Amino acid sequence: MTFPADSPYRHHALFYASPQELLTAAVPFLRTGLDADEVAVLVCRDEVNELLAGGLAADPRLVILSPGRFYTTAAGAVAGFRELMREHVAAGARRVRIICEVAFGAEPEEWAEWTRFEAVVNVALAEYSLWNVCAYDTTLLPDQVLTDASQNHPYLLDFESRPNDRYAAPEQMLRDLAAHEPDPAQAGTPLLDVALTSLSQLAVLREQVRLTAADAGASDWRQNDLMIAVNEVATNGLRHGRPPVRVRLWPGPDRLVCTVTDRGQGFDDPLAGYRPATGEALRRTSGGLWLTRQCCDRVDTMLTPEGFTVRLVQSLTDPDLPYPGGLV
Amino acid sequence: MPRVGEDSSPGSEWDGHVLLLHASESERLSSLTAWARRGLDRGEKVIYTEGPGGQHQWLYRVLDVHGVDVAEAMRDGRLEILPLAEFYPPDGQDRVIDRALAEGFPAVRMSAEVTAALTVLSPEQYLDIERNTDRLCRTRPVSAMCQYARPDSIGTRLRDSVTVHVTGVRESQLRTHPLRDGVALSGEVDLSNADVFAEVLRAAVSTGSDVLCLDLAMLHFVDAAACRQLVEATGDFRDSGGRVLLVAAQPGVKRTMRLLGVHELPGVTIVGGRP
Repeated sequence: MTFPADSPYRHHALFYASPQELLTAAVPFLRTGLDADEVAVLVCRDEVNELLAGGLAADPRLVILSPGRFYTTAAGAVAGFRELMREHVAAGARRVRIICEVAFGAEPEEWAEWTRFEAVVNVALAEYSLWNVCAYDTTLLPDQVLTDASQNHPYLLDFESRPNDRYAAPEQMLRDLAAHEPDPAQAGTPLLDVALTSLSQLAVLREQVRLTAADAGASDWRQNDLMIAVNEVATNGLRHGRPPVRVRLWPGPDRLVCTVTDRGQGFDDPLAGYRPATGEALRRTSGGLWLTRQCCDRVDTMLTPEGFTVRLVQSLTDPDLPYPGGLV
Repeated sequence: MPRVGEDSSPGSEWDGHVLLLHASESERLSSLTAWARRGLDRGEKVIYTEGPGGQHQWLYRVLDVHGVDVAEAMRDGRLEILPLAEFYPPDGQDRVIDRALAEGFPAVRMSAEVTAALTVLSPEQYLDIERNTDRLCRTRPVSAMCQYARPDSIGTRLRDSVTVHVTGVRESQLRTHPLRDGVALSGEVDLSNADVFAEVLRAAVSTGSDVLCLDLAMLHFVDAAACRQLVEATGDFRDSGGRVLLVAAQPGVKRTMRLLGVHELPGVTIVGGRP
């Protein structure tokens, strides 16, 4: 693994077992930044935000944010942190220091999603002058999460910031976490099952997806976002894969599962759609998969006997948290 | 799916210089008849030409189905089929128009298929005629519908044809309409027509003005390819200080643009629109 030494982004893990351990590592890190007129941001649970702010005598320059704003989906959180960075860069920040706690949730499926996030940020935030510390409470978090975290961070913070010799490439982590099994919903009869051979059929597909999602009870925005995502993936299949491109949509208890399958070999790039493709970057890169990941809860790719499949999972209801990117 | 009807789109009253990019014969005939019929309904003269082996009997059939008495219109001179040599006379189409107006018609509509025209004209001559037609449509009571087969319209051929009809594009999913300081768009843009959208943008930023206004109120969908064209095709214009105003975008369109950071591009402003 090439160590990202030349990146202005430093992604640290801080493992702690007591408030004292957290304060000992985090407070000097933040104070050094504030003393150098850098921006210091806290994105932890309320009680941890308070503890850290207290350690800095409630320095008024601290920016204290609720994690709810960020942790929607891995792709959504990437977009959220990029937006935060753009705001501070636009305001003139030379460097931003963030202490955050990733919201890992209770289920192994959620652990996997947020471990993906920890892997992806090494690439997706690499351009920013950001020193970021992810705080891991070793008394609360499951062993699997802690083990993965020990490989997902190129730096460790204890008394100082130092390279992590256990750091593994994000691509490898994403491969290890990749889904290969069908979603249980796929055992049923699809609500929609259509095959496309031409780009001129996309407009009809979009309408079919929207109407099917509406019939299945998806909110207006979930319908819209699923339609955006299916359109992009089907476009990719028609453009880069081998026709026909088959699109199927199944209802689940609380979600929709959609597969887009072409007869080709697909692509083998676990980071596809996580590398930022916004603004002027669109001059160099297609934004299709980035847009797809922003619009769905889950995007998995897999080779099946039928061909190359992209599977999209979309909740039926609006998220409690603000939509990543905002609704309008 | 949301489609734009003949009469629901902005600027549909003005037919002007229209580029019909037809993907099929049925699409060609339906757009052509709608345009011709609107002229006949208004008492205008419609002049049509076809190449060797032309299919004008199909045009008659479709007009007939739409309630036009073709025989009567031919007899009255309201509908005229000209051979190519008379449609493109050596001394220019101004003569054809002068003659039609002298017959007492308030306005004239002319339509030809580009492949037919190219059987008697060189591509350079044809492009000159297109530029002249554009002038006629702006300065005299003239509308021209220039029919191009969509599959043949790629690369420079698409660029040249869109450039002379930038506010009159009629494609399966996308239409453009005239707007002060810019272009109004209606329909949908995806990878099937992102090349047309890109040429509309390129032509629209090349008018010499440093502000381009795009009215998106009737645009129902854009995909990533469309946003990419918006970034690329306006890149040089914005790099040299030009500003692009995206006006009245629908919520779904605005969301896609935001997720792809279009609103953060230097020189781009998203203005107004329904909440």
